[in-house]
Amino acid sequence: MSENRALIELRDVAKHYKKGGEVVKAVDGINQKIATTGMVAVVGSSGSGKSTLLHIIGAMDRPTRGEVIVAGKTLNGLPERELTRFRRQTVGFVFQTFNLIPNLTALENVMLPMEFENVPKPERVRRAKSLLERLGLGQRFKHRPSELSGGEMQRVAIARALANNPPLVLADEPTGNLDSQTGQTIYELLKEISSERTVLVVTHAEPLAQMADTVLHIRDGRLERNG
Amino acid sequence: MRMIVLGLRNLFRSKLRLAVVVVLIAVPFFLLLVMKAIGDGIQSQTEVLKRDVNTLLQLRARGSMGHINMVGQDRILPQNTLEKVKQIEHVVHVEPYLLAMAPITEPNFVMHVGLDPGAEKRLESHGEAGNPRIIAGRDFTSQDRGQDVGIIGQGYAKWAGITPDAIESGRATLVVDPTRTHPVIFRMDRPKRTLNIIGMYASGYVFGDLQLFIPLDTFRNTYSVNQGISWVFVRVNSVDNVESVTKRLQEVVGDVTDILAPKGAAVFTATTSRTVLRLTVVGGLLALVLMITVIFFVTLMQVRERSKEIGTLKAIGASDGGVTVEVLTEAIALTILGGLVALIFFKILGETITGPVFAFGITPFLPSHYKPLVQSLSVSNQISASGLGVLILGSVLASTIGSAYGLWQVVKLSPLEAIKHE
Repeated sequence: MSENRALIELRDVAKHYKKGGEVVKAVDGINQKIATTGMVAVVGSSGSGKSTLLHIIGAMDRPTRGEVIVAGKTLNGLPERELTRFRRQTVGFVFQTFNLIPNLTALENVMLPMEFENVPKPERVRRAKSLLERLGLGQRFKHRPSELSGGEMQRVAIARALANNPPLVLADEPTGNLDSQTGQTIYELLKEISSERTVLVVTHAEPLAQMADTVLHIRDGRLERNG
Repeated sequence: MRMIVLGLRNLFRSKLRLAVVVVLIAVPFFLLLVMKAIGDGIQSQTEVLKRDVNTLLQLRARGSMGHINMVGQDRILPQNTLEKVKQIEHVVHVEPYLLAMAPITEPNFVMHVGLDPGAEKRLESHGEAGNPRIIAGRDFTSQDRGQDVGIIGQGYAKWAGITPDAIESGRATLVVDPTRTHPVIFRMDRPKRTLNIIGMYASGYVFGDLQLFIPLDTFRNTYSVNQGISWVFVRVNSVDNVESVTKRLQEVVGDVTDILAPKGAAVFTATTSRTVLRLTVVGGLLALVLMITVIFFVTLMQVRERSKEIGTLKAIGASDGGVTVEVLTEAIALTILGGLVALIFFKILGETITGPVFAFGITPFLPSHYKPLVQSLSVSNQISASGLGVLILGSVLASTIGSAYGLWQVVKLSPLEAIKHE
């Protein structure tokens, strides 16, 4: 990976918090650069700190120490309003439990981040339909989440993550609630979209991690080795 | 805009819950409407009372009846009393009177009253008991000022042998003789004076019909009273001001004057109406507090229940303000829906329910003499446009206050809530 083409740069990033009187080092001094395209898998056992790292990179959480630079922007010290803008413009999130808004249709769910970004309605509709069609959901525009299967819901969630065309997609255990075959499909989709952006995936599943361009092993809050 | 639409759509996630919450909000709203109806009813009733309540004060020389020839009761008010009284704020009308007694068949006597031709014909001793009306001849006009004319009560006329026909034909006369005496009337050395009786009145009250009204100037000439006034009647613009005008009169002319004020009626109207209005305001406020409490818990429950969804919205780029608008819209819409339901129930049941609410909720706190008003209270289920506006504004305010804590929780909520339950 070329250092001057890094999308993400982590410098001595740490996240410590107190639990039951003890200091828990969820992330402990991570230094890493991640390229502007490609799929990166973060693997590790439960409680190893991989999700915490993902949240710090996605500006959902703040580090205790260190510097986080994403898409040329240093996140440390940014006010909440700026972090919201950063999440809207730079990051797309894919959650394990899909997190679709239950009373909105698939199309409306995908349009939502664009509405926060004030994209004009005709453009929103066009882009959302295009994304859903690309993900094989052309016949599901008007379906609500309760009317979709797990795999379909996750594909809607991926379309939503791509709505504002962010340079970074963060996926936290995106196949955790899916059967292995559907999970495989989702990984293939994520792999496909990583040709245009960075896709950072947190996963337990080693076989699926093998599809990634880079694998980061994390243990006790520290990176073990690069794959 | 999108967040407003989202907030509105959130209402219909669970129709059962929507129904329960709307009813919970409608109940205090309904109570609020009932309180407002009672308040309005009392207000209009009070206005009627205020119009009917006597706002007339009577001034007499201190310790005297003010009858110029009555033994021991002949002191009258100084002439400048009139000007002093006219200066007092809220005084809208001042009427001077002069009174003299005249003996008829022992032991009775009649009253001669000097007044401005346009003034009210007041009946001595029974001020408001009668309602003098002309039954023969005519009433005074401004041309009668200073003329030897009079209007006689039908009882006095009967004693004097004056008939309505005689009055109608212009032949009726009466001789006023100030030298005649009586155990309580002293002699005044003034010549007799013959008056043309131009009208006869009836008051429906036997003593009230024993008076003779003559123009004030004619009275002064007849009895040689160039200065002073027996009685001054003072009309106050509102029952609310009777108390303050009475106080002011005490200050200005109180050293030489007895002031007869319709204190009971004024105090009754002012204090009891105020009491009821206060009670309705307190009741309304309690209803509002109840409404705010319902909204408080509903909003808090929704925020807790949807914390994951709110976290997700924040994670995908919704601002704190946007999410706040969504939750607030839902709270306001719920309150307005509750208000509409309450309004419909009020239109159907308002008149039936308001009476018992008034009887059980407010009457026990009232003085016993207020009962007639309570029984005659007319409550309407009509809501004026301004009333509706106030209610909508109130509901927006109540929902904003009620949801404030929930909204604060929304602002505090981290986007990490999106993954908390994973």
